[in-house]
Amino acid sequence: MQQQKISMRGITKVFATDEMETHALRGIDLDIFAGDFVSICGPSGCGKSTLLSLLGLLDMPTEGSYQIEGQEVSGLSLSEAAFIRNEKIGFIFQSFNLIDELTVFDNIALPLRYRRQTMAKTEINERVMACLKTVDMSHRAGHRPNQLSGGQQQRIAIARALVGSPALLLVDEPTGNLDSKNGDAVMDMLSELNNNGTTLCMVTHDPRYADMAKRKLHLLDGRILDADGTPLSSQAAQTQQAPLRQAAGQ
Amino acid sequence: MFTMKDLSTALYALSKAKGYALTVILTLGLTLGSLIAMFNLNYQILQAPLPYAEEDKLVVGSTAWLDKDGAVMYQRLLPVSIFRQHYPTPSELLTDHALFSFSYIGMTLRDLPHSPQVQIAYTTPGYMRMYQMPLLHGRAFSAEEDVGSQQPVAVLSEKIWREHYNADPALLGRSVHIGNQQFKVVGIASAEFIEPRLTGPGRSNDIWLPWDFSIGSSFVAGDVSGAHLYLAKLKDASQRPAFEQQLRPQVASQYQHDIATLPSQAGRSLIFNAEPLRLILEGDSRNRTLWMLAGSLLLLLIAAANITNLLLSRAARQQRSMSIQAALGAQRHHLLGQVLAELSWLILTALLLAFIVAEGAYHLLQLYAGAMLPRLAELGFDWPVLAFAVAVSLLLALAFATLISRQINYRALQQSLQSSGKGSGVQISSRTRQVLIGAQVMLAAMLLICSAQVLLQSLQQLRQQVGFASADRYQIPVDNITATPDDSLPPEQRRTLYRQQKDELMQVRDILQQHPAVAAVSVSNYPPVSFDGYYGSASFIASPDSPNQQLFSRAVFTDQFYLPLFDIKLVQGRNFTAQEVATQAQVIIINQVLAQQLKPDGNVLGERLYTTNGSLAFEIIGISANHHLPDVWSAEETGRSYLARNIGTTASLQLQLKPGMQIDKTAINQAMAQVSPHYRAADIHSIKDNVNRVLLSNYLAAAVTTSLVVLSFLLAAIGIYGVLSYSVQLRRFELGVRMAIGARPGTILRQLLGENLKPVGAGLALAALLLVALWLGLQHSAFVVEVSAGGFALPLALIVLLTVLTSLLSVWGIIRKPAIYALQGQ
Repeated sequence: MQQQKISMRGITKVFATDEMETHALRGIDLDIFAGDFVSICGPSGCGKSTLLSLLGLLDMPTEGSYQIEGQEVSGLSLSEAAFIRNEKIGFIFQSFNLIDELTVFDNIALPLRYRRQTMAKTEINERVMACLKTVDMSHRAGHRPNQLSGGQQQRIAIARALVGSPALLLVDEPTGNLDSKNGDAVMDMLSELNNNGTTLCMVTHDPRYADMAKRKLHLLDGRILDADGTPLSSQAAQTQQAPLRQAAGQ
Repeated sequence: MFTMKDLSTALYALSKAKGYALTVILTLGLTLGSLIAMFNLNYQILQAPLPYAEEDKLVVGSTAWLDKDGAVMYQRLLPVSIFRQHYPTPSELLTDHALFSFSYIGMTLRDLPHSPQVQIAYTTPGYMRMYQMPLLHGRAFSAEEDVGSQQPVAVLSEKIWREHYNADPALLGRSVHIGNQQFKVVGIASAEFIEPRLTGPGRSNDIWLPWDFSIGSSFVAGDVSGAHLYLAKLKDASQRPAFEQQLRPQVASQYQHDIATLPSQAGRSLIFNAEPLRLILEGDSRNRTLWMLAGSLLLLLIAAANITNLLLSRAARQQRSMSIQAALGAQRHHLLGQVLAELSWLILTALLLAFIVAEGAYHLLQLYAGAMLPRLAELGFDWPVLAFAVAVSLLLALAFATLISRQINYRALQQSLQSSGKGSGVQISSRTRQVLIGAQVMLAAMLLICSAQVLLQSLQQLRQQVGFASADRYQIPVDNITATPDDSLPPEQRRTLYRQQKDELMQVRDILQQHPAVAAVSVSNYPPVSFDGYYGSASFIASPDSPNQQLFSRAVFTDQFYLPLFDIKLVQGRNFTAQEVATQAQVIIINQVLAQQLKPDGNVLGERLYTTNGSLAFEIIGISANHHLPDVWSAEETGRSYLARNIGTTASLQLQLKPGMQIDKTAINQAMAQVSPHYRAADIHSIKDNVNRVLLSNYLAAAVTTSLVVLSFLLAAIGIYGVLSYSVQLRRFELGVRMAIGARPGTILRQLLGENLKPVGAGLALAALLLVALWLGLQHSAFVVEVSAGGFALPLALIVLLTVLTSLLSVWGIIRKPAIYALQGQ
């Protein structure tokens, strides 16, 4: 029995303005297990980014249950959500989102400095250097982000996402701002991380990269579709996803 | 620089950003307006030409009175008899001269049924020539009405003529009744006459009479008076020192001759001074007005820092439209032209508002500070002031334009459309933002601390009990035309005549006591604080064996009802008895200050004080509590004495009315008429108003500094919030990223606070350094600076609190929402 990292049930997200309500997600049921590599695809406006935001606790669902490693997180305060995000989730953004004023080292160390328990300097140092080594950027520790190429910046962003040993790595269009060579390199790196046991959930437009995932979820109009394009029910999500996982060689 | 098209575009753009435009215009208009008003005030007092021809040649002569040890006892007194003798043979250095005196007792127009009180100046024809008094009707004093002529003529002010004589031209040649004399009206002085306020800005005269009729014109040799001046016009302004040197030995030797037979005056001396008229009119207002100018300048600087922030923020917001224009080929000067066009609209409108604000400030000053600051009536439009306002506006526009042009990175703008938001050409550097915050905090802290120091001192004075009751108490100066006992009469006979006057006034007192509105009445020369600020004085010696150790006191000659009426507490001893008042017993009540001058422990009950010639001894029967009401004469409580003796030429009735009751002059005059036709009530002055008049400078200081504190705090709050808020907006995405990787709301707030407090700390440290330097500098000046720790700590605490609050406010919109909102730029 594999460890369940993420469990979403009946998740909806409604954006309301004075004039209208937009249903971005309509009853999403989703499970992600340890070692999964899930890609989320779909047309523009289907709810991919909203789902990723909810997965990353960047936003809270309007309705439904969301558990990370068995802990209910859908009703957390902003502060509690920040702790969970810090300890259990790593983010990789399309536009890297490194902080220009900080060095590469400090950018990577940032999540560790936001820890609930203050981490010793030596431990921070060790973990940052280890991550830099993982992404093969040790020699750039003292540089600023604007001194790096796009591909290098994304590798630093990956290192920053990994440094806190998160339960889940959320990846938002990781190759969107890169040329194909750098994009391939980043995807190879993510695959390698997954092969080494890191759980990943990736949003991408690129079918080539989506196929690199062990599981593919298609979103349309705020719902997850099954293989023939029918929206999955809550129960079906469980049954349909298990074979997919098996089919992917789990 | 910019085109008409730029101007119309700018006007449209501003109409779409009303909040921004209004904030800039209001901030700049209010602060620039107060600066213009303060500049004009200082210009009027210090630089504007006086409204008299050849003003630099006009001088005011008086003497300083030196004690035996050479210490200056009083400034600006005149040995009247010396100058009366000197008057017919003026110095060859002069082209004109005049003697001048003024009334300091109650005087009324007795020919009118309501006998209105009037202020009287006594002078000679030279006064009207030197100050070019314009006459509406009639003529000025002629040579036939000069010193010694005893011609009873009068020149009335246009105000009195209109208010009390219905502007009747036939008044010319008729008589008015002042004191015990009829004066023939020979002229009506035009309202255009700007009278030189020789006795302070608060006093203007209603009627000019020949000097012969002045109180003290008959002073004998050795007498000096503070109610007389010698006015002169030099042939050449540079000869002022020579004129002084010429008269000094003459005055000094004549004075020594005059006091040769007066043992109590032995060793004293006089030094003649001829001060420029401008200096006399300016008085001690220079320090006050220069501080006000400095305060308003600081306010404008704070406002300028605010506006810089706002302008930079606006430039940053306009980045996209600028980028598009740059992509379409706009040159740097095109972009700058747009910014300057907007700036021109804003500054022009603010300048117009500033003139309105300045006009309002002139009105307020004339209303509330007329008794304290000179030449306020002359405040108004002036070319130098207009030039100053325009110059300051241009300077500000230039400074703003330079700063903005440095922040517009044209190259980055050109590329910003292509780089899809990777950078902005108008992002204001973190360093600039920090410098702005630091500068703003420094200026605000300096202004707040200085204002708070003055405010706390003023409030302390205003909160303090003055030491006597003033509610429902009134001073009625008595216009007394009883002939002054002749100096040639034997002292005992003179005393009897004065005694008769006091007895008559005590009869008036007893009649008034029966009036249903009256709670208590007393007769005295002065109340604790008089409407005109004057007081009686008496000097004593502790022993006839040590005549040199004189003790000065403000003396009240009164009855047994005075102390209870004003609720003046006796800390030891007792009040006068009716018997002591009736017999003019040689008893005295003194205050604690005088008691401690006699003996450090103040236990002097039963001891004696002597008149300076040792002829009379007064037994001390009571010690009264000190008053706490510093005035223009003394910043600290002086010795005070109360005697049951004759009142002299200055008499007042002190009335305590029953709560809610009123009394008019007619009722008082009826009571007086029952006793003697010699007495009239000059006016009814509320003691509470008298107290408030003395405290006016404190009220004014409190009002001005409170306004400064509130304004500077408000400006600082707006400015600091503006910079922080703008800074946070620029960093919204970065903060979103930090939140995405686990930063909690509290962490973000702490981080921002830490960052914001650095420039704030630097600004506060710099302000503290500058204030310490200022304080050290003032130690070597004539300024007395009392520093209170509260006035220092409170503004600092307020600024830190302000930073915390504005930091919280500026980031609140981000940290109270999930991180996704910041990442999406919402």
